Amino acid sequence: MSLSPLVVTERLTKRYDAATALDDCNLAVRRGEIFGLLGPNGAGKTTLLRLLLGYLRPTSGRATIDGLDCERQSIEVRRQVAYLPGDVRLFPALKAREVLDFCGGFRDRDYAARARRLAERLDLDLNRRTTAMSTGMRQKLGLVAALAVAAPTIILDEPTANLDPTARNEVLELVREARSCGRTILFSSHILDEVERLCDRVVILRRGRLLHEQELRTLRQRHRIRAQFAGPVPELPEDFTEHGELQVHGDRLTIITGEELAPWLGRLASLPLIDVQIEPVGLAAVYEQFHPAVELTVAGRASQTERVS
Amino acid sequence: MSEAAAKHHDHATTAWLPAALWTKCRIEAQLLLFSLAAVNFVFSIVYVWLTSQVDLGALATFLKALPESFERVAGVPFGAIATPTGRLAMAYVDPVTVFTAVAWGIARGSDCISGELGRGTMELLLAQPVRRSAVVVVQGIVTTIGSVLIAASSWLGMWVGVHFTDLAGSVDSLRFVPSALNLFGFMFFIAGFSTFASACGRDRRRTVGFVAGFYLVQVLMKVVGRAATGWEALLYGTFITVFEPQYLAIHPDTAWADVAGANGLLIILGLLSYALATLIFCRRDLPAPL
Repeated sequence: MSLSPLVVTERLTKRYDAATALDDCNLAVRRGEIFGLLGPNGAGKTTLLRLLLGYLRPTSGRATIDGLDCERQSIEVRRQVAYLPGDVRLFPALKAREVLDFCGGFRDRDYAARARRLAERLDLDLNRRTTAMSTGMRQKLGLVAALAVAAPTIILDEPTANLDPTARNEVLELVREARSCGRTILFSSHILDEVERLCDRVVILRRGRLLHEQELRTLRQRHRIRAQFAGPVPELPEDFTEHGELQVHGDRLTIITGEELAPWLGRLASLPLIDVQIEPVGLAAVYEQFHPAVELTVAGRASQTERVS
Repeated sequence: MSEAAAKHHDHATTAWLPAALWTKCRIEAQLLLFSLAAVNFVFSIVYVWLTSQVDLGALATFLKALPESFERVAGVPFGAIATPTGRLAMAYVDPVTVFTAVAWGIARGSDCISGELGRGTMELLLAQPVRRSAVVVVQGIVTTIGSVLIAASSWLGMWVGVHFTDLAGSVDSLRFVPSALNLFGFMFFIAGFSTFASACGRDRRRTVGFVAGFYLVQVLMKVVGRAATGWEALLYGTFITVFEPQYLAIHPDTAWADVAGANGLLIILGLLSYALATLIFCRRDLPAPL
């Protein structure tokens, strides 16, 4: 089995007149991993996925899936890929079953059986006309249509949007099962919590640029220790700085470490503490480095001001 | 390509025009098709029945009172319209028949690309391993078959009407076959042109508006070119010049040659429109649904 990355982008760029939707994106998705794309609206996630599927032609650079050029070999690429669009819209003249028959018409013979099993798991009525389905039901049907494809690559653009918590958990479980079968999943989402629970690796995008790549296994080992003292933080032993990143604010000390916690408890026990809290650093903290909440607040206020004026 | 990918590739369909695409297009087109075909069929019967009730002598007197420019716009001498065959031939340029033909061509053509893009269903369609050219070709063929059925329903309605009225002895229904063929050519071009317009846009309503506007301009060019002296050159700029089903019915000697020429032009223009639509669609970016 080849160990080369399954999805590769090399300086992939997409520009529309003056706007740059994706800028110089270099990416390598390993086989068998769940790879997350994170970023706010307009960050370039969907543009990246649409370039991979051949819906858009790159301004420069290239993308390949399993060695196939996404622009020139789009049909072959789509044979290898199951895709769930971000905003699932279904053919209005068709019933749910007919939508699956349509999708199955391009796939292998077992597609229908797999789709039926998935529909049962997601509690989906296939006899309804798509125009009579709620947003959540349409999302489920889109998921069934995509996940029933026995392709080695799955691209899911916000797959849990509009789903109730039960269906959401079921979908996350289905994605995990797909990975356990050796399939590779590209997963775009706004929901940090589920990305953190599910993905092996994530990239954070902002205004079309890929800013940060994060291995989730490494992140899960990182903890934040918040310590409060009765007075100002005393002079700290040298090994504190050797084993963690320290921040001191008045009577408070924050330590971020990727090492075992037990030795830290020993080190802290020698200090005059009045309170200690330990928590995982979490993806939210990493995300906020690149998309600070204050930026959102300022942007939100600005748009509100515009509306008022 | 990895082993798993190669295995999947072997089992997936490789047809250029997959059966699933045909089925989808048929389901999407069938309601409008049967409705328009039924309207045309019933309208033709009613038209024949009404014609059988008209005193053609009185009609001739009425037509003689109209200005000469009206006769030029009609495309056939008023004397011919006052005959049973001439009167029935006018059914093919009656607003009801023309409306159904234009509605079919624009509705199906505009749906092909801008309709799918506007609804957001192009995402799901092209998530499958289907060529963009196949999307246009299958839609075009289904629309063409529909055009044949609508034109045939018009002729069949006339045949039924003639056989169940007093006109059975005085009218030969076969004389309207070239007219029905001309109606088909007319629909073929409109559908092709609408598909071309559809390939350039992402909003079906704008496509419909553009093609309807184009059609009205073409009608006006024909009317002015026929009615106004010195403006005849306009007739070379409108495709409706070669849509003359009423003329074909009253000139049986040259009807087959005339319809071959007229439909040849309409079909060539229609095929060019489809080819351009395919070229544009295969090269363009597909924007995310709004």
